[in-house]
Amino acid sequence: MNQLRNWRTVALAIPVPVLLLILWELVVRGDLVANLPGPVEVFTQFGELLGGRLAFDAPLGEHIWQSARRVLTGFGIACLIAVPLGVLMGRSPRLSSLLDPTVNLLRPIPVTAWAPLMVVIVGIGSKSAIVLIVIATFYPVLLNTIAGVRNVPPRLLEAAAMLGTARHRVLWQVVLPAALPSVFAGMRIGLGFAWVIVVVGETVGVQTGLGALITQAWQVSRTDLIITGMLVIGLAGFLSDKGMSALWRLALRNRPLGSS
Amino acid sequence: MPTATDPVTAPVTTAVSCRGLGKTYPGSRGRTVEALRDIDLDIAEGEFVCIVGASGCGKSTLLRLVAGFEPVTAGSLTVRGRPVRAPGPDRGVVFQDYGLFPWLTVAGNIGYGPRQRGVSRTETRRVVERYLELVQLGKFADRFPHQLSGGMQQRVAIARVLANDPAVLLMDEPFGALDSLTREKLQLSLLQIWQQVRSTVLFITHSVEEAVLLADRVVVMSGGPNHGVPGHVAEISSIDLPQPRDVTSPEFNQMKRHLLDVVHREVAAGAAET
Repeated sequence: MNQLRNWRTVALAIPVPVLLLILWELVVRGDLVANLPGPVEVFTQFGELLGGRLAFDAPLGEHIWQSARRVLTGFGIACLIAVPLGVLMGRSPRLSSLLDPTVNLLRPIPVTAWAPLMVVIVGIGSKSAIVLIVIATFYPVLLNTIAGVRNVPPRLLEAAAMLGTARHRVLWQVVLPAALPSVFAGMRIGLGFAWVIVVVGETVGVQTGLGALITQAWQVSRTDLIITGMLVIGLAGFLSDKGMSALWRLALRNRPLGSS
Repeated sequence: MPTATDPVTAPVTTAVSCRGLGKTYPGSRGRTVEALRDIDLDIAEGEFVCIVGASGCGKSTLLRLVAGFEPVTAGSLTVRGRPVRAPGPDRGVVFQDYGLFPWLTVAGNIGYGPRQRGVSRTETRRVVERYLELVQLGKFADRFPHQLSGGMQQRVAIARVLANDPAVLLMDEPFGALDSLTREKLQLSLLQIWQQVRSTVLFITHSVEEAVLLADRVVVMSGGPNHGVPGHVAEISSIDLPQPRDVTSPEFNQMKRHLLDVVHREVAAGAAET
């Protein structure tokens, strides 16, 4: 029965994209937008890239790998800082009072606004891209972790005390497991942001990467490559999200994750 | 279980003892709220005591004091002779909303208490199996709470508490969230479990019928901040009917009628006060 439902879901996912593709082709045929290549042209390009043709002196795989590397590094660093900090801030009202105002003051600054400053401080290249990704990923992970830790149902804390949990073990035994679904939600959002920001980070001073691909394609008006780059980023983001969900599920051995 | 007609062959020890027990909360604008006043109650080992009363009369407050979730502000409260200072496995609590840990399996939940006490994994597994059998959930050891019905979750909660061999089993309207069919099944299950384990039970309920069905003694409480009088004990009645009790029998309904009258009389008196 589940098989049937899965096929149905897949089948229902098809009509809208197909419709959009047809619409796109019609817009191009009707010359309604200047300089826009049609889907046929884009997919042909895509096919050639997959077949090994170089895009700006590097194969598509290399571009994908460089972006993925930056995303994962930035995401990893951000999580290593944000998760422990989020737990501490969630548990300690004093620490929270100390840090909350600053955190909330800096939050509205869009990551893209940090970009020029980062280039000045860190220099052009991969490092500044990674720093931007760290900034972008940091907030959702931090805020969701804090929320997860603060919103542990008081009933569970009562139950833990009633069952004889020593005070110093409550954090590890009850608070963290209860907060995990929120941490996971924060990480999913953060990873999504990371893929968005990698494009921004790669606009300056980087030769390979999907963002670099798009930027260079834009500079030489290769719109077909721009669109190809966009599609590949979308796919990469989608697959990395699925991958992370699968890793979490493996790590938690089928414990409930909240929604997924 | 000694009854009024048995010759006393062994000393009946007291499991829970309240003397002049009171609870006051700080209220708004410097006033204090007296939720409970002057509760005198002794619960014997192995006794099943129900507390009934209208909403707000302080029955849950009393349970939370015995559980150690709130500090006592007046009088004394001891469990097996020791004053209550904090929550602990000797006073197991079954909550109306179950309170199971969602990230642990049924076996994980039941084994939680023993593991906290340092019981080995092998021994914990034996304890878990024993209590799974007792609550008749043997096949569900590896399920998670969200995969179980409310009634099953409550049975896990009961097993989880019993696995620590508590001095007293505290139950705060445990069947309130369940539909009446499930509630009846669980009432029966609880009686069967209790007859095997013979814990001391303090059971809070709205339902006079449930109290008459389950308890050796029923404590009727009344008052409460909304009624102008602090929560207090209005009456304590023994239910001398043999188990299993028949809800349709005249004796049962006589008892039920009597207690309902007490409850309603108290509610009316409270309304007159305010």
